[in-house]
Amino acid sequence: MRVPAQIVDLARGAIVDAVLFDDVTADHFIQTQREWRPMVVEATRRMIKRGVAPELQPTHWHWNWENKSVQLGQFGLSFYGIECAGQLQGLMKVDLAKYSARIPTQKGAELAYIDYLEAAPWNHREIASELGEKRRYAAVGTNLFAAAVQLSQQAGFEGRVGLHSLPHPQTEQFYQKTCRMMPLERDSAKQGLLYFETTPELAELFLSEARK
Amino acid sequence: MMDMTFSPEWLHKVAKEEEDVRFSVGGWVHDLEKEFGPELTQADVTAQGEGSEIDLTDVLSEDADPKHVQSGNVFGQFLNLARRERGWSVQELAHMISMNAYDVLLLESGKERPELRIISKVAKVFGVPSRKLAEIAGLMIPDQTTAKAALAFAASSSTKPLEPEQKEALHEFLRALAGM
Repeated sequence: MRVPAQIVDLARGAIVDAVLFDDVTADHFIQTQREWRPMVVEATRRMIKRGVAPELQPTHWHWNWENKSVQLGQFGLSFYGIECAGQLQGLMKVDLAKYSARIPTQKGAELAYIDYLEAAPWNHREIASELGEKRRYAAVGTNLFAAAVQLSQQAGFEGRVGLHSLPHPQTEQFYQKTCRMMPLERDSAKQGLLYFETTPELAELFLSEARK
Repeated sequence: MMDMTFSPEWLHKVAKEEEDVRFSVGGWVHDLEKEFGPELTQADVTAQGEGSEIDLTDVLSEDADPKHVQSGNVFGQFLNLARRERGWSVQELAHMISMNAYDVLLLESGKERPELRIISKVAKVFGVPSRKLAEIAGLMIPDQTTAKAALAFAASSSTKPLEPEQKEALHEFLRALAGM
């Protein structure tokens, strides 16, 4: 599946065409290791050298998408990517099999759990800035989230989506206000991260606001 | 078919709201630093950043060779033997460390490298130091003693005679292969 999408080119302040796709391959993972990881690692190194507090450093420098190669095509897992200007701008892994809803009114219902989501480092303000660059594209992560909502609807899960947010006030606020997710609980099984979830109604609200 | 058509106003609004968002869902490490030690950050940044196991040797202070540890799938062998020694099924262990059985099998076979949070759980379940487990899994640089012990473990494990039921399973598998 490849569908047209749009993201924001921050240098021009303009909306530009992108492509959302689900035919993610091991080559995409290798691409993240070659093109993304060195930037994240270098930014983290510089932050460590400058004495930036650990909580302000990137938390995903150790990720290796290549480790997920064996999961491509695995039952219950979906991978999505966004491309623009010939480059991979974001990547997401969604688990449709392992998790169920926790909101009391939805308890036990099936949902799409966003297991991994990463925007390219040049779309991350703190990383780009540390490397003396400007953030290039915006709305990549939100587009991927919108894809997860629609995947949930298509799978018959009525738009229910769950995820654990990084412990970062602006990020937690974003999931609540922009993505219309409900904050539920600090999850002791996930290092105390705040768990967020949508109901079918909140998922519809999110999509209707995006299309207004 | 997904419809990714959103209004320009919404996209511009989101672009602004997204500015300080950390989208790296799934990557939590700071709590783990407390468990694995403060030098985790620098050591792992170096190791992971080079993108190659061989490059790890550049940062070794002594002659411990992490290639021995990693090529031997020591972590996977440890997980497999420790689980069986306790008489646990893959499903039981998977439940204890909040994973699915398939992922545990991938870890045992060395087809997937464990993340630090998984190592942390495995260490608690088997009562071993998490830092040492991270070293034998190739996520941290092992000291010379650990690297040698891991190599010896990997070598001895591979020569241990099969249990009767393993032999039977192997023979059955060979018979099945011969009949294909």
